[in-house]
Amino acid sequence: MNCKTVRTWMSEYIDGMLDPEHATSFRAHLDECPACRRDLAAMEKTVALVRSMKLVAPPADLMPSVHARLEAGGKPRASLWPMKVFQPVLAIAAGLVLVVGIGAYFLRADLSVKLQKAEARHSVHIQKSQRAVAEKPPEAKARILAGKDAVQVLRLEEKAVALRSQKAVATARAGAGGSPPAATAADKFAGRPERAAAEVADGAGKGAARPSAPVQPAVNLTIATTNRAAVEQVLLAFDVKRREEKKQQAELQSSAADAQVFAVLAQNATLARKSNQAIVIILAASQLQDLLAQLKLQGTISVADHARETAQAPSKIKAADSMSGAAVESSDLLTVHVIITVP
Amino acid sequence: MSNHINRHKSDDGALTMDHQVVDELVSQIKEGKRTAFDDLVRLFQKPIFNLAFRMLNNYEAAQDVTQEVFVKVFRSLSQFKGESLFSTWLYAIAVNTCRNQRNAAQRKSLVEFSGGECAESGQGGKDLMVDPAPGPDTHVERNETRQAIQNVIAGLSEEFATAIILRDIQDMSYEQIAEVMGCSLGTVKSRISRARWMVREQLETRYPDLKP
Repeated sequence: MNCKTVRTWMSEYIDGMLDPEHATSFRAHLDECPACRRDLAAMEKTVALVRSMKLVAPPADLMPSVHARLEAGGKPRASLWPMKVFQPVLAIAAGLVLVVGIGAYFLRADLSVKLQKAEARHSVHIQKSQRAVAEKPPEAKARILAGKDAVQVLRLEEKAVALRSQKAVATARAGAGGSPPAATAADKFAGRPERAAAEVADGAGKGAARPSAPVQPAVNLTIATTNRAAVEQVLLAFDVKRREEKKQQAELQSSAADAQVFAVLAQNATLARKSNQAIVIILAASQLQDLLAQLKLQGTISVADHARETAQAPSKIKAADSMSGAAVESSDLLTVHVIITVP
Repeated sequence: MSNHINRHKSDDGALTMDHQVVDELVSQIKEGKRTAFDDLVRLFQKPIFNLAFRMLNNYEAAQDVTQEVFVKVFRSLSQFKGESLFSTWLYAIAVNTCRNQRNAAQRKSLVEFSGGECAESGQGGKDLMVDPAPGPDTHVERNETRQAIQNVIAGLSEEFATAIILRDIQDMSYEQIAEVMGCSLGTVKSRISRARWMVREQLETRYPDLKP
């Protein structure tokens, strides 16, 4: 044992904290080292001095002062003791109510604004559909319904088809008395969305008076996106005629990214066409990621930190609409539908 | 209640408690008995006040901190689950409150005094809490030796001052000090040892003629 170790253990030795073996070594070193003996004596004197410190009497008014502080600071009396237990619960509950209240307020306000916008867009789409039907009702090739209102349009169309079917049944019963043809799911989607929309816009009565168009095979491709420009290009993938017209636009034709988007979407469209029946393709999150990536490459939509975000939370894709600049999350995107009808 | 509390000074002057009595008082306070809290204050006011006084070297500040400690105890007693001795829990609150007070005083002193003695290694805040020239009306140690020791201890950084006060003035065991300070036994041993060496060196340097 050397002097450094002795100095380190000196305090414990004074307190009797050294185990017997170390204490023996400690004492053995002291027997041979006058310097360490002097250090130990000085240390023992220091400890004795500190331990000689007497306890000072606290102020006489300590108790009244404590009482005064307790009374002043929320008065936690004994009778109110149970409240101390419930205070955190009440605080949490109050916080939740506040958060939910604020959230509901803004959500309602947000939804109200969105609903107004959707209704406005819906009106525009229906008017377009009406015009399309008026111009060339049987040959209507396709249409674009972009945004959340597309879902509403779809529902209205279904409702209109159902109404029309009911009226057709009633007419058939009145005319021939036979059993009505069953409306299939395909009927709801196939061939007559424009007419159905027009019926809804015109009103149930007028729509019912319109003769039914022959059922045509159609494909409804539901793609989650908010980008109208992207939808336009998706449509081009289906509509050769319009694509030819758009050929004049160099930016669309020269872009290699366009071809990639077209390839992906056209593949889906081909599959849909081959099935020759109504198909609604709702892109899964993974597919949506692919689509977003394609659109990002194309430059029509910018995806902010797409790969990183999706790698961590696939359901939380964050994208920024290149047109509006608004942040969009996948949860929103998945409820945004583009309905493309191809006869 | 206080008349039957087993409270006595040990041979070296430290205060010891009957833990069963303390536990009973704590239970009564939790049941809403306000007089039990008063008994608890009476039982611990002296050691807690002395801890604060030695840590802060200021009678009024120690009084204020002691009040604050008991108010905290009253308001947070429901959080005390009995997993440690009540005295350990109480001392931990007291040490933290003293630490906050020292830090606040240090910041205030640093603002108020641009000069002064610089803190040495291991002695952060040296002399910031020390009243350099206490007047006749202030509550200070009347004995020159004890006042010198008081000044030196109060000049140590918080962890070393706490360690040596709890050990040599409050007569706590190493294990209880570790619990109060929230550190390992080895750390406590080291802090006590270093604190004693620092006190010794300071006393020899600043008070060479000091007699025990």
